[in-house]
Amino acid sequence: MLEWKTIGRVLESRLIKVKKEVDLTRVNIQSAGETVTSGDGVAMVNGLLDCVLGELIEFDGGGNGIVMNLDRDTVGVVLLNGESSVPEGSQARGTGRVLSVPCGSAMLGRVVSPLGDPLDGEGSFSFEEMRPIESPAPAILSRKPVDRPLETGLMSIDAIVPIGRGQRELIIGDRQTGKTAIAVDAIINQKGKGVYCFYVAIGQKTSSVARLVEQLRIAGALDYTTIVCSTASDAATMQYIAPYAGCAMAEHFMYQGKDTLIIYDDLSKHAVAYRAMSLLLRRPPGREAYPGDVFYLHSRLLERAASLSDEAGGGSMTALPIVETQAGDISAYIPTNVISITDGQIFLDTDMFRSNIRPAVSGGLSVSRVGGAAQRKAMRNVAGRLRLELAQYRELQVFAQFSSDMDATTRDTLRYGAILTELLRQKDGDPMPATAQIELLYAATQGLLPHDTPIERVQKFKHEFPAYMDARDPEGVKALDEESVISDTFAKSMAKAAKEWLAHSGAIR
Amino acid sequence: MIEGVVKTAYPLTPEEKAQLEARMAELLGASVSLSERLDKSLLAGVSIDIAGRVLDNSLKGRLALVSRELMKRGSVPDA
Repeated sequence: MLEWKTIGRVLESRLIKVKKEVDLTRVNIQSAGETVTSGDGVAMVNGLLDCVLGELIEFDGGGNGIVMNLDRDTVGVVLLNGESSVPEGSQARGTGRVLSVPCGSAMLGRVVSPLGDPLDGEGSFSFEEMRPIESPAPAILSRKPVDRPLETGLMSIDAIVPIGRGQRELIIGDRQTGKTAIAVDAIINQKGKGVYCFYVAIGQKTSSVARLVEQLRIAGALDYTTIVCSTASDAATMQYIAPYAGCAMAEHFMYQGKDTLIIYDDLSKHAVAYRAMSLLLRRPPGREAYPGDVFYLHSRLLERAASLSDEAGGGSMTALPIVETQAGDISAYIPTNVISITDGQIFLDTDMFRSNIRPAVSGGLSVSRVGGAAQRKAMRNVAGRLRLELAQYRELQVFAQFSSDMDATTRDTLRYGAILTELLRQKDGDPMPATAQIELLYAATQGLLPHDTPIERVQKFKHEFPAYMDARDPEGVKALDEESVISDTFAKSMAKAAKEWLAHSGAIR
Repeated sequence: MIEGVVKTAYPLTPEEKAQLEARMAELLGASVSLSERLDKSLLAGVSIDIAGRVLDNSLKGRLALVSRELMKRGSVPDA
């Protein structure tokens, strides 16, 4: 039980501090205005003499909003809450502050609203600072090239489209192609790696968010993850500020020299929310009715992801924005915008997903523009030719459907391609350590796994070989993890282990 | 002539009102006419709404300021 005396003492010391910091005798002068019209989450206000864009406005009835438009006579304010508490004629006051959100490690493992209020019913939390949701991106001189990997634990990404810390990699694809699953796997794989994760849900179903939270909790990934949640039932304004709020929370850690990962799920809905706001503010509609500054909307958000130089603390923010396409059309407005902003994209193919190749990462349309430099050397060695070989396989596969009469080389390429494809398949929520990925790819690309191995045995090999290596040569695996090169001795050890496993596994069959 | 509204928790005496008007006229460099409005929620003090500004010197405003300062480093209340 807390004693009243203790509470009183704490309050007293805090009040003394406040008294020192702020002059309470000063008359508080605020700009004021009168609400002319209010509706659909937008209020037009007369007056508000020297308010600035983005300023937080308080209304008489307790509602508040953000200044979005400055016109000759009126100010357009989008409301954050209490639409009903802002009737026509109510007084509006400028606060001189911009919208800020609480940040800090106590928010890890929590689900919060875009304003930083807890939504998970676990009570209040302490925070370390309030950060404005909009802040300038790190300058050129305080950045350094992306040079450390951020491993997702998915072989099809870590091998073919590697992601580095500080990179912005778009995850794009139709609905129901496993976009969120990739993001969640990436979060789960950061366990024990000192990466703080932020998942921003924009305009999603509350049930989906609940399921995701549960999934993270079960995987033990909630301890280092904050979920910023704006659901489909929230006002467009809330959906609009959610990614900026999440970004501010991640920046708090980035500027302390920590590594962070942030997922925006998804930016198409974010653009739709912004379009709704813009149309209500009577801004002229452009292509697909989006306002003219919809590019800037996403570029200023994604520019805040960075890999900071050592002088600037050496922290990083890796951003994985998600964009949903309609019928695989990546040349629509928002997809092309975000593709051009990010450092590459992971394209998820509906057909591959349906033929049970999951994650359905399309080798041809996916690219990572900076991740290669951050990839582990050993991985680069074994995965270098993977993209090309898979492309050849796909090409041949199309022709092979027409005839059964093939020469030996073609048949071999097809079998080899099938093995590679099988290796790249992975279940949800089951990330694979980098060493296991390297071992398997080494075995496949160096011919330790004969091309005529039946697919069922490849599956078995995929599940058992890494554990087999761990048991046989723990020193070698450890060295591979730390030095990230395949030594001659380890290569020999793998060759021997693969041979034995194949013989042993054959005996069981 | 600039018109404004003065809000108080308790009625002003005519002298107090005249004093306020004189002081506001001095600040704004024009003659000022204030109309009175009672607002119990202010608790004490005055709040003047004039020329697109609110000059708040009420107890309610000060308490709001203190509460904001206290909330800066600490905890946020439940939603």
